[in-house]
Amino acid sequence: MRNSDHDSRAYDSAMKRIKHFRERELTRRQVLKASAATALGATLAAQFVPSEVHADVGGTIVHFASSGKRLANSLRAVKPLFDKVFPNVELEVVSKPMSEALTQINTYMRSKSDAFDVITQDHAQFAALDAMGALTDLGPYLEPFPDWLADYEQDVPEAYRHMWNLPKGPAPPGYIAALAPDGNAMMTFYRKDVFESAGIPVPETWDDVIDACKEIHDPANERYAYCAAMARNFWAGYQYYGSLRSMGGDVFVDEVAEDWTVAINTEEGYQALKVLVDLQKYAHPVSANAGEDEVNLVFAQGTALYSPLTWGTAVLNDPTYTDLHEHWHMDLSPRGTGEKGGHRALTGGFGQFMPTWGGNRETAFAWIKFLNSGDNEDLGGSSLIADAIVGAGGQLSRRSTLSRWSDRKPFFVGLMKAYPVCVVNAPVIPEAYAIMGAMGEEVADAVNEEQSIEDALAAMEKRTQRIMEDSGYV
Amino acid sequence: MSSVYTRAINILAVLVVVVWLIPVLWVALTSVKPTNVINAPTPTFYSFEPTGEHYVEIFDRFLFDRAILNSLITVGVSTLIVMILALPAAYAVARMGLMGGDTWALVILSLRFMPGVVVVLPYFKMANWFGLIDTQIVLIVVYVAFGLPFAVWILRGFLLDLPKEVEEAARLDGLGWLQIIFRLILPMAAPGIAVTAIFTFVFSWNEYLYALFLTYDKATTMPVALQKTIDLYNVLWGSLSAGAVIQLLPMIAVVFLLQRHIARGLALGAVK
Amino acid sequence: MTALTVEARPSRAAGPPRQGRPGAVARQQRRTAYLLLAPCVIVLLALAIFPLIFSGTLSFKVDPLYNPDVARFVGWRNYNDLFEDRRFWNSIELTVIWAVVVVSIQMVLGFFLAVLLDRKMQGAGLLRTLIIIPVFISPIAMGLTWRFIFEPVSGLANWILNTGFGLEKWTWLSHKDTALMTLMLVDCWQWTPFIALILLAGMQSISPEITEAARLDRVRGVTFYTRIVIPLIRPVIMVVILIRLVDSIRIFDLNFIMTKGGPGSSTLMASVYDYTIFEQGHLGLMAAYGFLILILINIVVLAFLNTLYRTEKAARAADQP
Repeated sequence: MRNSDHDSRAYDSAMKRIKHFRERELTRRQVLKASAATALGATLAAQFVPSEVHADVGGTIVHFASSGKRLANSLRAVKPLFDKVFPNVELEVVSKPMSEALTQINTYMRSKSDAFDVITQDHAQFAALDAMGALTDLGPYLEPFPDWLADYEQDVPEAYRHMWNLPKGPAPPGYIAALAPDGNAMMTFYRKDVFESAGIPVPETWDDVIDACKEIHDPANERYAYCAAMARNFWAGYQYYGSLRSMGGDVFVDEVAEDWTVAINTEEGYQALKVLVDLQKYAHPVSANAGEDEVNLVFAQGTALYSPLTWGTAVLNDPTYTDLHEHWHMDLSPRGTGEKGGHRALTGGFGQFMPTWGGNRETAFAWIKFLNSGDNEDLGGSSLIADAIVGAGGQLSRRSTLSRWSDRKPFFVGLMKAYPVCVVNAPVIPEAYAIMGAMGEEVADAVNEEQSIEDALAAMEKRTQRIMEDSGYV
Repeated sequence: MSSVYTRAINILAVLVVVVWLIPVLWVALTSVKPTNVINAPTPTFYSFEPTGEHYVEIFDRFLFDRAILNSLITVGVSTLIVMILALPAAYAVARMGLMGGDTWALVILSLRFMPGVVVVLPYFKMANWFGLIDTQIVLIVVYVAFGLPFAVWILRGFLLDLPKEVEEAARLDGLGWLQIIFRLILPMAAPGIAVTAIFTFVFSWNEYLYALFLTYDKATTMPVALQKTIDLYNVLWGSLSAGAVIQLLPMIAVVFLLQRHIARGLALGAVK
Repeated sequence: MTALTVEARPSRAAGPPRQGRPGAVARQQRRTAYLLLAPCVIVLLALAIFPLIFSGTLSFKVDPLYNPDVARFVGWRNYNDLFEDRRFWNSIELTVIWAVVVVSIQMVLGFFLAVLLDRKMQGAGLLRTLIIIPVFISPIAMGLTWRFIFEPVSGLANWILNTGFGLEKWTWLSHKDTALMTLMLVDCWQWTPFIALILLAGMQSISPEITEAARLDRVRGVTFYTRIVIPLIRPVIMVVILIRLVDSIRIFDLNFIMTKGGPGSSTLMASVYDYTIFEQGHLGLMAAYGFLILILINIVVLAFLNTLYRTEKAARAADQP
């Protein structure tokens, strides 16, 4: 949808540049092996010679983020670097369990909590944050740094930057709700060794997916072809939305034109659900009720071999997580064969915003900007920032840093392939999460044969309509 | 009873306990396994190199030391308050011919019936007004509120079991109510009190939802810190297990101390 | 036998002497009782009133967490929506089945376990400490570990069944037909020892004179427990049943962590469903559901208490000649 040639070209040139970074291999191996986030940060900080030191900036800032490798830990890994540039800033990273953090942030923002100066939140929640009046325009803060912004904009894919287009009237020009160092996309995850020995290519269409599953499915030896996160609520919701978009369908007739007629119960909607139900024949037993953590676990164990459409994340290329880290490769998710079908990768990820009720704006902004800096030292960046994030288990949105790491992380290769065909992972309205949850409940019931596909589609449509009516769209 | 029979039962008791604890042993074993061994396709029991990295990690990355301290303070203090408030209340309900005493007891209990998620939002609002978010006080207050009803009820059950003559005698000797409760009832109902204290302690020790909502990071307790080892996309099994083992240790100590009272039984003779 | 029961009875709470006392003494006693009760009740009321009012109001509103602008009163709509929702009825049904089954199993097993541990052997204290470890491990850690153990292909449970006993691997948590049963298994594993501990404490508070009398009367084995122990610790048994019933109806942690209510909606019990509704941001619906659960539990508790008081009264009447 919001594709551009620019993204494809950037990907090609990035792949060519990989060779250039070979000499850094030793350091990067060390980075990967360093386990504790703070220890890693300290190691990197020892090598770090900042081009300028801002001793004049001071104060305390509190940054709230989900716990875990990808978010809080990567922030903590960058902190020692930041401390060197801003010696007089007191930075505190507050984290909450990942599973509850997204809802927590909404709860805090609903009660106008002033406890946080910077918050990391999932893309799909930004419209809701906007509805609560929680977002601060970063545009004015970025104005003094036109070069920095230009670099950020050409490096971070368009789909990410436009993630913050908000529904309640078009955002004013230059409006930036958040910066996003973290990127993710729904992709095909496959065991390269298995597909190669079976002599089949990575499936291109959903029909190919079924064929491939037939080929590699081997339950007698406990090697199941397929696994996906079909747990009720959001997991199954995303699974279905990814499939729906690839078929060319969407929740609404035309979101951009603000035509909010619900369009789930359509041919595309049916195909999208049918393929998920059909695939259960080849599914690993956990699939019926799995969250992504369970899917990744069976991938790590090697008992499931393939998922055409999953969030997955970089963890499957983590040598401390699985012995199969070299065999897991990522590619574009399949396309629907219908008229409107195509490769569409749901883009996820987390952006950093300054809540309306937070304090210490200049300092908070300096921290966000530092986190989102690329490798270019003339612009206040450093390659060590990305190293710290990747080493701690994070994943990146900037193409330049992705490509530098992509020979070690096939996931990053997949991510760069996905960028040109990125689509937003949910309708950009505050109701997105409620709709995703409602869809996920119906999909999970259909996949587990508690209701028919037709009933599920009808129920999804009805519930989505109700949500939209309640919010006064219709 | 023949000694062979007794011994057989004893062995059975040991066996039951061991089998019952297999999952716990599995947690302990997992806590010293390297992650890629944990994520291997078949269970491994001994053929791996034990590692302490998860124990380092849980303190280093998940700030477990602070969480332990918070847990001990909030849970310890709230349990103490619960016991001090509950004992007289239970005595009043069980023994003192309270008119409508049964109804009082019902009121006390019914406040705990709501699903946590419904109660937690108003509590969050209240704590926000009073500026108590992310303090140990707010958790202590909530744990007292939620520990009290059941504590009163369990204690009532045990107090009903006690013989009444001793108290009558004490009252004739001119002892006041509080003296009777804390000097007579306390030792006599020791097993019940110990069990109630354990129950109250356990409830708060494992409580997750309120701790999650009412604290940010400073006053966070162990269950929340533990949950942080769960990433959206992978569970850090090693750290999780290490945290669970650490969380277990103070509990075992508490119970080991209290179970003497459970086992001691009623020392009627000593009181008389 | 008769002689013994008569001897056992007076030592149980004979109930307050309600009649035949001078009014002044009774009034005095009642006042003291209220004084003793007061701190407890004040603390609880203070903490209960606001949440009840807040949630009560909320339950008549549409109030999306994500969009405060559209919040408004809608009358009984939320309750109506719930009554028309098949998942709601399904969740109530599952919750009731759950509570009845797990509490029954736990009480029976817990009693046997208490009897098993109620012995004077060396290391009994250690055994008693070890057996209740299951309730001490955070439900989060334990729930996840059980999920790991029940992993259908690589989990420990299937490994033991398969390698040790040559049985077929079973899908446990990931199939809608077995998921609820597996959850019940874990819940019983966790709570049975604790019930055993409470019952054990009850058994230990039985006066040694009674056990001695029973020994002299050659009452032992099953008769000893059915005729002496159970009647004597009945108040404790009743309160344990009550507490477990309430907590079972409110089951959340294990359910949420191990199955999230799935596969499909096959283990979607009340509290988890309510939490799901909260996660999706429907605050009004969430509060309405909370009140319905409150009513459900109140019905159960009232019915239960009614029986409890009636039997207690009957016992007292029988005690007093």
